[in-house]
Amino acid sequence: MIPEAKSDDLLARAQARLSDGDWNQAVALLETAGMHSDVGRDAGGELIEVLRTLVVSQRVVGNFIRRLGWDREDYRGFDLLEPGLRWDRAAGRLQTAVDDLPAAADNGLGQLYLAQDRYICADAVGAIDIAGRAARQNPDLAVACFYLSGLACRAANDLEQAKHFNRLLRGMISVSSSAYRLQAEIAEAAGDYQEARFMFDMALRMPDVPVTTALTTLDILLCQQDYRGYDIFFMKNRFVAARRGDGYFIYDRQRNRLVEVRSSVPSGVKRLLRRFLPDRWYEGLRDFNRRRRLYRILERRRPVDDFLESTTIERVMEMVDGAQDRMDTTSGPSSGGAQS
Amino acid sequence: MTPSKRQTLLMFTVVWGDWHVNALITVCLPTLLAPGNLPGLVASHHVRLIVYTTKADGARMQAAPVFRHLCELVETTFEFIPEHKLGNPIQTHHEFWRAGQARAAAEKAFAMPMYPDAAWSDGVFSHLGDVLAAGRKAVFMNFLRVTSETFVPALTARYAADSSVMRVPPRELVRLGLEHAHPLTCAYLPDSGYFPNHPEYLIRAVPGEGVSVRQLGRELFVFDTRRFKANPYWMLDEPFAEDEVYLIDDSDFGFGVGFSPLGKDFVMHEAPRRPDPVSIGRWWRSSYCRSTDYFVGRPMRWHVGDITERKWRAAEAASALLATRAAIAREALAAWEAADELGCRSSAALLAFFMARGDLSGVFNRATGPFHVFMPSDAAFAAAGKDYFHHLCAPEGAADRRAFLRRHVAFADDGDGVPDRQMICADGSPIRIERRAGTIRIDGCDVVGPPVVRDRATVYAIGGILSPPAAKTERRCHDT
Repeated sequence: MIPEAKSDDLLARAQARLSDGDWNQAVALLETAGMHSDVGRDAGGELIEVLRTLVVSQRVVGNFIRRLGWDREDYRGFDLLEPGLRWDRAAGRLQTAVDDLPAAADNGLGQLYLAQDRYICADAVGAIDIAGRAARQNPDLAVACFYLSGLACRAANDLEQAKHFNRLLRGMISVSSSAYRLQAEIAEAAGDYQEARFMFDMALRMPDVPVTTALTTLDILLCQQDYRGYDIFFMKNRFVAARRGDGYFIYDRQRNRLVEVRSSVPSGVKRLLRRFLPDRWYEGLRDFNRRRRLYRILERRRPVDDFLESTTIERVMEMVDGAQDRMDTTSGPSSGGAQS
Repeated sequence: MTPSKRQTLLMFTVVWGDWHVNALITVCLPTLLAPGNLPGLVASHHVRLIVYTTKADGARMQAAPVFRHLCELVETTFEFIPEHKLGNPIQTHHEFWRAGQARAAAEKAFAMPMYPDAAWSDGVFSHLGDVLAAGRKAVFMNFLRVTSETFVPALTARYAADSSVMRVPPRELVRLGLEHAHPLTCAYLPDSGYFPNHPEYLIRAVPGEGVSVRQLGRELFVFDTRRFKANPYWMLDEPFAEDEVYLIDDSDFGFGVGFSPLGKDFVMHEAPRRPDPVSIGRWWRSSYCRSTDYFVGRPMRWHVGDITERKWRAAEAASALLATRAAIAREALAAWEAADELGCRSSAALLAFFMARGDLSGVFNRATGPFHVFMPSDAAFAAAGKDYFHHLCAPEGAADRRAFLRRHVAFADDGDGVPDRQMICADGSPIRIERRAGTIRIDGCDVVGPPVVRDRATVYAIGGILSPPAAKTERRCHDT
């Protein structure tokens, strides 16, 4: 057994080996670190990420080589990997790493990766099975798991099961274009064109990011810019709509609130500078501002309290519609009429 | 094209750090010094090189024999980057590329940024010299991304007999590059299962012969600063004539590889993804510039041997199909956005539906310039009834759907703004425009409010649904 005092060091060394491109040593160090109680969880998570990078890389390269009509042996880009990390063996080690991870929540993400990769290999049943396990082990991943399961069912033409996962998916918050798109495809296949139209439309309003990324890595995500004068965000498991101004919105993590950042230099002044200064001077001024961090002095931050929020983007959009319609009513009839 | 005089080229490279300096010295410069590269270029043009680097790295480079060889051939100067500017590599590169561009402009020269972590086939620069002498003002090329850890040792073991010159024939460099292709490159194959989220190009393998590459966007390789200025992303976003620009589209004329460590940019292809035209169209719209349409019609061929024309045509046709569908989605997205802004939610949702299903072929791809889209208002669709909506979306409504779409998109030769009398619809028939007392009617339907312009689309909300010409006797516009 390696002394506990060295376990932190193992992780640091593994990361250093990885940045040097030494995947063999990095994997060996992470596998060893995984046996330590204090860093086992971190090392296990990192090992899964590292092995999955290799597995997916080898999968796309394998397909490429096959399409070129070459043999695997013709490809030399993995020559520095030890045989135990090449091709199918890397996938086997990834499976072991996921199974060995002690914490169920971390294991869930690993299971989700495996399920995704299984889906790509056209093993829909395997993908659904593993996705279900991932969802049980880490409820935060449920949306991604339902998405993946729905995708697999749709691919396998099991429309009833696909609709089941679709219902589960709809009941939860989703901020990914892919999730809406899947729901639209299922609705279309079932002949529900009204639902399909609505979902395809929603898909275009959502960022084109994978479901897992959207759910796990972002504090604030712009979903719809300038929807009837509002910007709509996904922020901390809620959708919020804030009236647009001259600035931009950020999530202030310390205060756990939405903040608008505005420059105190009026936009008209900026436009004048842009117009009349030679490009070199203008760029120089911007560079000076950036380097000296003048923008920190020039910008004003304002907490935003008057925003609309809901757990679904559809509801937030309805709220914006309501607010705008009320404003139109109070400000009198619109001018209307056709113009060229 | 009229043959032009001897040109002045200002090359500049931004490089610091052990790994990059080493790549420059051991691979990039030796391949540049091959007979068909810099020696060929300086025979026909005046070439100067600026190396932006740190003092320590500059001293190391100057001590290398390959640099002495380079300086005998090309006037080379060093300019030092202050330490505080090394924080963000991408920002630093852009800053000094801009400085290089400004310097080239002051010298009335061509600007040419040079990547330090790249290798070139023999003959690229002689070909470039011919192209510039023939009067082209901007040249583009692309690089194959290779796995650096294995590629660099393989290349140097095979070609570095003389340490300061590496002569690599194009087909051999393509073969070696494909043997070490970076996983990210491989992910760009449409059936990789992990298609990248940044679809700047499309790749198809041609069995036994190489890869066909179709660009959806590309930075400038060389350009005349008297004629063009790179945009902030180093792309060409100014009007140009086709005979002013040139894409090196056959690896026999020029080929380069760029180095990347294994695992670099894995985040771009870690998620399962198919190359979906709407997703590509969304990305494309955000990075669209005027040179984009030039590339997309010119597939590149990177080949290891002779070409079997039939095989390459098949691969190119497949990528052309995907690119066309993505281009249709790109145009439709502009119209969808405008419809949303006009408050035509039903029309927007219907367009999203047609877009996702690929129903817009023969409509938006007919637009070679500005085009006009008529979006029935929500009230107009409500008046038409739910059954009408259902019919348009259902498989049995295919013919009516096509007729509907082609009637609601029109083209006018005179560009932006509503023409006075008529336009031609995508179905080829004219559409009547009436102006009366400050109002406009399109084929009998009122235009509601001012139009919204997005990209090339001018979009109008109309108070009815336009009927195809053949159906006019049975079905009038649903005015509300």
